[in-house]
Amino acid sequence: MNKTSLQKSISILALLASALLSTGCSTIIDARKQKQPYISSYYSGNIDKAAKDLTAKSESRNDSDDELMWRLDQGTANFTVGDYQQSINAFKRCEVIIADHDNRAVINARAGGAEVGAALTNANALPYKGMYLDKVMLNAYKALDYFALNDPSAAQVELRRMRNAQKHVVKQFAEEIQKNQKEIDAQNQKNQRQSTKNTSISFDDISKNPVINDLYQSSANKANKLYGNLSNPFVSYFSAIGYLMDNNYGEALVDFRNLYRMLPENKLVQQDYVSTARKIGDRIPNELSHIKTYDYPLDQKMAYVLLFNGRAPALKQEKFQIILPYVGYTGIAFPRYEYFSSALQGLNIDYLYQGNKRSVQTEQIANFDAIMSQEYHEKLPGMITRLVVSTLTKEIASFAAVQAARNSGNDGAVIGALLLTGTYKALFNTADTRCWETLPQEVQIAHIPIPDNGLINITPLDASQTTEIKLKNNTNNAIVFVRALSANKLIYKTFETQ
Amino acid sequence: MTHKIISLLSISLSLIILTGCGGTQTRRIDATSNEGLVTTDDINFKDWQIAAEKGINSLLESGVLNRADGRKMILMISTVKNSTNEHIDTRILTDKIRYALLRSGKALTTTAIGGNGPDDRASRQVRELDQDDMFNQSTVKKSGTAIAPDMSLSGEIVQQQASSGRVRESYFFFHMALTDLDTGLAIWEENVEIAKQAKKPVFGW
Repeated sequence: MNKTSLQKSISILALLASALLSTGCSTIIDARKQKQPYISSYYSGNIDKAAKDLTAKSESRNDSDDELMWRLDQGTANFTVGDYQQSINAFKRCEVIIADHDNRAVINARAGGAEVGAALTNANALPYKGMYLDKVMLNAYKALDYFALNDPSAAQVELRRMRNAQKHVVKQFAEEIQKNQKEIDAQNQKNQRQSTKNTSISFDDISKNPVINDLYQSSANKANKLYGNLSNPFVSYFSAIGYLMDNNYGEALVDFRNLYRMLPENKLVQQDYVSTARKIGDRIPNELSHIKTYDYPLDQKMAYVLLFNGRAPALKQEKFQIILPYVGYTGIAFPRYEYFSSALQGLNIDYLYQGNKRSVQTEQIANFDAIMSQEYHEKLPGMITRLVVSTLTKEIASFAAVQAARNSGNDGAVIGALLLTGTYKALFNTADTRCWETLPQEVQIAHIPIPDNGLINITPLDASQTTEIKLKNNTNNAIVFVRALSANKLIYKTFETQ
Repeated sequence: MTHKIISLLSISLSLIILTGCGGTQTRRIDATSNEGLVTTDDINFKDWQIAAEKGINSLLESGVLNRADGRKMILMISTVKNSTNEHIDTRILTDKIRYALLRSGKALTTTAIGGNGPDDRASRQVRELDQDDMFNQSTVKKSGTAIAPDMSLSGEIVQQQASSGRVRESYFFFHMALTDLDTGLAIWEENVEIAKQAKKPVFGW
């Protein structure tokens, strides 16, 4: 190997080492694999271990680009285990990280550095800023934390933040899609300038690939268009609960009206909408005129049963083969949602009210498969195009490095260059599978008046074991939170406000 | 090669300068000055001062605290509802107002009862000593001697946020009211509005 080739090889090695050091673990080992033991503990019901380990892991990932991902799961795991203050602390840290990204200058050195890292490695080098759903759900969990700590005033603050976040995500999302397309166009142009072949790539071209076409179609099928604009019906329902607890029927009606638009066939939403509208003398749609109002007030002496059912979809790494200029067939790693079946069909609730035995079942309010798939589906064209363009960029650079070695006439240099560039490409062909894995697959809700004797009997629809919840005598409103990690792992919590 | 080393050194040096060399610098600031931090999403100490000052001046000038019999009005502090997106302690506002009222000589506030429970439980606790042999019963405060309030002070703080492009703003609306507890009528009300705006820089670290 001559001196020049050696210097080049050392430079590439140095570049690789610094890329590795600066971009973190997820650039090589995908996040899903890294989180597997923690998530496995959580869903197998070993929630104490999951909470403890996720807390320790989050601390060790402090200030890293992946910190937000770990903190979100730390927050839910600690909520599930009942360490509400720890959960609040984790979510507060999430808010700080998200705000830090939101408040950065439009063109900032850190983002520039991360982009360079991502160009050299993969999308995992970019800081994880959270999915749009994450930004809304973290305040929902914080509100639950404060209800659990019997601090309804603080919970109301979180509900307002949740509503605010819901409003903002739609706007931010549209801006992000636009920004991504600009970046893809710029990179396409840059690649074209460095190449003699046609290297311009569009999603229309890529979507001819059967894997990508299937991916695009299946995510479209999963996404529920009725929800629209990344809206989360659970957020609207939780918001309405907050307003009703505050005796604000007017604002609750706005939420129920939106929910009716999103879930027109939902019986619970229909009756909530009609009862709230009639209470304040607002008009109701003709098609709902036959719906009866509840025979109990919605703003006091109420118990809400929230079922957080099953496991939300999680991103996993897959590869698709594509023909690219210079390299021919190449496999590109990409993230794809894996869906899980729900843990329970629902819950049956028995109680005594005004001397009569009554029964009600929970109804699905939000399907997280649909909500998360919608965001994924909308982002998919940009994400896949970006991956292909980035792969092509690396291929062009590798091609140039090997070509330079060939021009030196030294066989050793050529072998060295091929080995280095091959290792480099294989090492960093990792999909960005970072996501919040401890969210539920769906949320089901029911509400009842506070029973005469304060007793609520809850039975899963597909099981016979009943759990009895006893409310305190002076309870004004209660939230009975049921986390179904699996069909056999149910966690019951009761939050009461006086 | 020398050029490359010099370039690398220059970049490293610039980075060190940019990221700062020393530790955190802490200093005292004058709480009555305008030196404090101004953040868009929070109510900063100066905002509390502005809201309290306007509320106090308005209340004292309104004349509702003047009584014909010369007795001082007794006020209870009810609740100030937090309808903002931030976790705030509304006591900062009510404590400032009660302090100013006391200094004005026109009113006294009771700590025996309050919207969120008594500020000082001692008034009730000492009366519970009437069953305790340890205490000289002639020194135990008698029931029926505490003075009930004439008025109650309440309020609400509302926040609205908006953003457009690089600009983000918060609007805080402070509402304060004094209720005559005889009639249940609000005999004084005041609103204080504070709006703050922040603009994201185009370039930065």
